[in-house]
Amino acid sequence: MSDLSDEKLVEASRAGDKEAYAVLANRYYERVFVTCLGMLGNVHDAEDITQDAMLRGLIRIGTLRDSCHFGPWIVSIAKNYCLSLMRRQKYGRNIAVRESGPPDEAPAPYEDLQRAIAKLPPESRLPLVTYYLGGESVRDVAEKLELSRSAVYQRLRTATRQLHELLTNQGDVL
Amino acid sequence: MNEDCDRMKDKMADHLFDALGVQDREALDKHLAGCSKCAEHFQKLRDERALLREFAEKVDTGTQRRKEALAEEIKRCDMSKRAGVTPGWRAVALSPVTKLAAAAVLLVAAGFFAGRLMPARPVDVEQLRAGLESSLKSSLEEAVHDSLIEKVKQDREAALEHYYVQLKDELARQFRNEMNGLAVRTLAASEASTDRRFEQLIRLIEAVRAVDHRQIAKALHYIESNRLQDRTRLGQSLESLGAVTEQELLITPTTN
Repeated sequence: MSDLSDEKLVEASRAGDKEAYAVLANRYYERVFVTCLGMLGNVHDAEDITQDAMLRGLIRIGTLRDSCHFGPWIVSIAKNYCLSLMRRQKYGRNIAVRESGPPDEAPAPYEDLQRAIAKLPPESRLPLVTYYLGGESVRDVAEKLELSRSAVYQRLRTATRQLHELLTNQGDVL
Repeated sequence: MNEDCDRMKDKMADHLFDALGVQDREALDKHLAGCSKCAEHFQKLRDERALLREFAEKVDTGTQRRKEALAEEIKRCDMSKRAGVTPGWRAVALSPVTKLAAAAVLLVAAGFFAGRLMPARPVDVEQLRAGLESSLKSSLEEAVHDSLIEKVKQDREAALEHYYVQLKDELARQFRNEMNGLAVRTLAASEASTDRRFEQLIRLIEAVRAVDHRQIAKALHYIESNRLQDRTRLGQSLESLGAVTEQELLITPTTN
């Protein structure tokens, strides 16, 4: 079933085939997760939101008009969940880190890194996370974020400098 | 830290993403070799990149576990909450054929119970038939109407689709024909234009050749006239030389 097209899997999912939907979810998991991580800057939240968005997609699959556009559709659901969570928990530049901090399983060097990533402005964080977690391809980042390559380079350059400042001046907000 | 160092910082970031040209890279390497502060800064950036890569790898290793957890959640998900999806039984129940069958059953049942409950009296077959007909007509009319509308709609869509394909093919054919005609006309015009150009070129060459002929003839005429003048002058000189020689021979006394 894993080699079926998105269109066929969506049709099967509409008819109630959970196995078909599981294949779709598996196919788009990374893309949704990276988007969530890029928006929220926190692995734990990104995991939760990705799961919630995927389950929401299963419930709402009947409302998807074009079966070929499952990818953008599920990503948009996840983005809405992220925005909603950011509003609820007052995420943003100045209050970027969860009160509980990074997840327990993160070792010390990654704790600092996650804090720094979470403090980055969203316009820098999303390209940086998408670049490193999406296979280090500027072209892919440009396609996923609908930006020009030069804009991606510019944002990666800025993100690198900002991240360096955050890592060398721990606790300071940009 | 000077202006050069600030400028190089941008190049360092670009270098991390393989976005530097050869010249810029050489300039950066040269600068790093001579500036310990920048070299240290660049090393820190590289360490941070390595940390980001490790972090990405770590996050990636947890992906399979998260996917499996999601698959389990999908299995457990309550499908009765689905939105925008018509369940199978509901789709069957709402179909025109089912509606029609249900109306007929209800009608027969109503007739049956009415017959059972009413006191026995002579049956007026004609009245019963008329009543049944009108009742059936009124109850089935709507369903048949809907069914017909649906059928007409489907037929219309199929016809539209058919005409669309035909129209597309026809337009494509016309477009091809027009393009072919245009290509032929363009080629012919191009050939005529080329012929005209050749004719002009040939006339030009002829004109140049005629001019050349005239100039050569003029030159030959000039050479010939010069040669004749030279020959005349040479003859005159020889004659005067002969006369002088003769006189000298007459004047000179004979020694013998």
